[in-house]
Amino acid sequence: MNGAQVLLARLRAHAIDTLFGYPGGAILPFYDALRDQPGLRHVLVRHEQAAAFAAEGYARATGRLGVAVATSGPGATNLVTGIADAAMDSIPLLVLTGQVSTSLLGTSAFQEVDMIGMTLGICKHSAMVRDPAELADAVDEAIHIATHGRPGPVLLDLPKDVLMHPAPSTLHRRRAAAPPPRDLPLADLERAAALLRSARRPLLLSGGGLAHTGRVELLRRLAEQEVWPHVTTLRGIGNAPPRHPGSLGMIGMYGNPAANEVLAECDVLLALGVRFDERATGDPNAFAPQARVVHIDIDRGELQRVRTAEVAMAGDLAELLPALATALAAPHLPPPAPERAAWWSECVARKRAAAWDHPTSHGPRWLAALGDALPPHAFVTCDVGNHQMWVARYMPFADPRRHLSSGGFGAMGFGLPAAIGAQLACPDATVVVVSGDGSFMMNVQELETVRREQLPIKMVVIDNAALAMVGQQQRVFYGGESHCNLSNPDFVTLARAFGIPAQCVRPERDPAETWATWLREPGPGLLVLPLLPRDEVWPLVPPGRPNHPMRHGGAP
Amino acid sequence: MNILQVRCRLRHDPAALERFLRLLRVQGFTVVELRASGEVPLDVDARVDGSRPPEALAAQLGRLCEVQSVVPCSGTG
Repeated sequence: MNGAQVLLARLRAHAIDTLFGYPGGAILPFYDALRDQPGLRHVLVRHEQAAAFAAEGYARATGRLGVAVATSGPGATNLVTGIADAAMDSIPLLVLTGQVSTSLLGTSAFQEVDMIGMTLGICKHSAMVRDPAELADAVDEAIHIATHGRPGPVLLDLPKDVLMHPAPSTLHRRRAAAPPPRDLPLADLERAAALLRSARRPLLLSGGGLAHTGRVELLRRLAEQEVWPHVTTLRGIGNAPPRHPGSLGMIGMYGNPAANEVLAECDVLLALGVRFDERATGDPNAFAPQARVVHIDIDRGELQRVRTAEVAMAGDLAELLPALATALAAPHLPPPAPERAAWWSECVARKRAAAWDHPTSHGPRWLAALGDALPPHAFVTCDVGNHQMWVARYMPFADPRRHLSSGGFGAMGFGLPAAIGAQLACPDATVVVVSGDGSFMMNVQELETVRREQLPIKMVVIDNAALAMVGQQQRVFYGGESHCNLSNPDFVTLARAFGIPAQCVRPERDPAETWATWLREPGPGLLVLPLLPRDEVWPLVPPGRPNHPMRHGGAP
Repeated sequence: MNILQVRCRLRHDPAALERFLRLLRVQGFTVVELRASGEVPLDVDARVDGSRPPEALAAQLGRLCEVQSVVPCSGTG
C-alpha cells in the first residue's frame, strides 16, 4: 500500500464514513486512492471553507469526528476559518492538507505554504508527516487527540511523496498507556454539594461542555430536584428543557433579560462546561457579583481563568455530574433552604416579565413560529447576526446537538455548509438553515452541493439588505452606520438558478401557516423573508459592561 | 517588571518550541532568557516578563499536547 492507502485504511479503522473536501495538486494521491474506497463517502464542496464547516456540522450533530480535506496552498488556507471555529467551540475535527513533496519543502514551491506555522494557534495539535513509516501512527494519534479530553481540531500536513511512497499499514508507535483513571475528587465534590445545598438563591449555568457527555437528562433531573433555576450560554442552548418555567434562557450580551437579572442576584452559581467567554460574562468583574462559584470543566486551563471559583474541578462531566448527584444525596446534608421556593417563584416571574413584546419586529415572531412548526428532533443551523440571536432567544431546543451555531468564533458563512454536514450525518432528520443575507452570501456557492447531493435542506434567508447587527452596533455605540448596506441579488432567482425551489413571503403573512406549508414540501427549499434593516435585537449589553442592567431600545 | 521562571519538559515534536513561545506571546509574556537542552524530551527553562500569575501561565502551558510537565516559579523583580 502507498501512504494514501494507509491513510484511508486508518480512517476506515476508526469507523469514519464521510469526508468533506476539494481536490487539487498535492493531495491528488489521496484522491487517487479514494476511488477504491466504496465505504468512504467523499462530499465534494465548492469551497474549502465549506468543507471545514460541513465537517463541523457533521461533528456537532453527531458528536463524532468530522473530517475535512484540501490540497496545499490556497486549498489549505481556505480551511483556516473553519479550523479556528472548531477550536473555539471544541469540535472534534481531523483536517488533512496536501503539501508539496518533502524535497521541495522550504523552496517556495508552487502552492507551498507553512500550514503548521499558520495554524499553531488554532489547532489542538498539528503535525507534518515526513516519513511514510510514521503515517499510520500519526493518523491514530491525531484522531485520539481530536476526540479525547476537550475535543478540538487536529491537522495533518501530508507531503505528496509521503502519500505516494509505499508505507507500512501497521502501527509502530505504541501510544503511551492511558493514565489510570483518576480518583474522583471526593473532597471537592463534598464541598461543592455542601455549598450548593446551603444556597438560598442557587443558579445553574450550563454550557457547550455538556453536549458530548450524555448527561443532559441527569442535569435536568438534578435541577428539578435541587430547585435550581437554569440559564445557559449560547453553546449550552438545549441543555435546559425549553418550555420549563425554570429555564430562563441564554445569558450575556444578547441574552434573555431574566437570565442576566438572576445571574446578578444568585448567591451560589454552579457553572458546568462553560469557559466564561466575555460575550457571556460582560464585564467579568461584575459577573455574578454575589455568587460563590462551583466550576466544573474538562479543561483544567479554564478553571480560575476568568471567574474565581470557590470549588473548581477539572474532569469529564460524564463522570463528575453523577458523582455530584451522589454527593448531593448524602444523608448528612440538610434539605434545600426554604427560601428557595420564593427564589424560584421570583425567577419564574422574571422570565414571564421579560418575554419578548416588540410589535414592530417581525424576526422574533417568525422564528418563534418556526420553532413551533418544526418536529422536535429537527436540526437548526444558523449564521452570525441578528437572526442568530433571534434563533437563540426565541426558538426552543430540546437537545444541545440540535442547535448548530458558530458560538465562540462567530463565523459568518457557517450555516449552509454546517447544515450540509448535519443532513449527511442524519439523512432522515429535518435540517433547517436560518441565515441572514450577509452571511448567506458568504458560502452561497454551496447551493450547488445541496442540489448535487440531493439534500432536503430548508433554507431561510432573512433579507434586510444590510449587515444589520453591525449597523445596530454602529448606531448605538459609534457615530452611525458605516459600510453595512448591501445590494443583494434576488435570492429567489438565485436559488432557482441552482435548481432549488424558492419563494419570498411578506412578513405580514401568517407565519404558522407559511411554515407548515413550506416544511411539508419535499426536497430542498429556500424561503426569503424580507425585513427592515431597523428590525433590531433588543435589549443588549454594551461591550465590556455588566450584563445587568441591559440596555433597552428599539426601532423608531 | 514581573519576571517569572518557568520550566517545561516538551516531548519530541518539530513544532514544540514554536508552540511554547507562541503561547507565551499570546498570554502577554515577553521572553527575557531562554535555554533549551536535551533532544527527546526537550527541557526548556524560560525567564519571562508579564503581568499574569505563574499558576495561570502554567495552566495554559499545560494545555499543549507536547508539554509533559511544567513547573512555574514565583515572580521576581
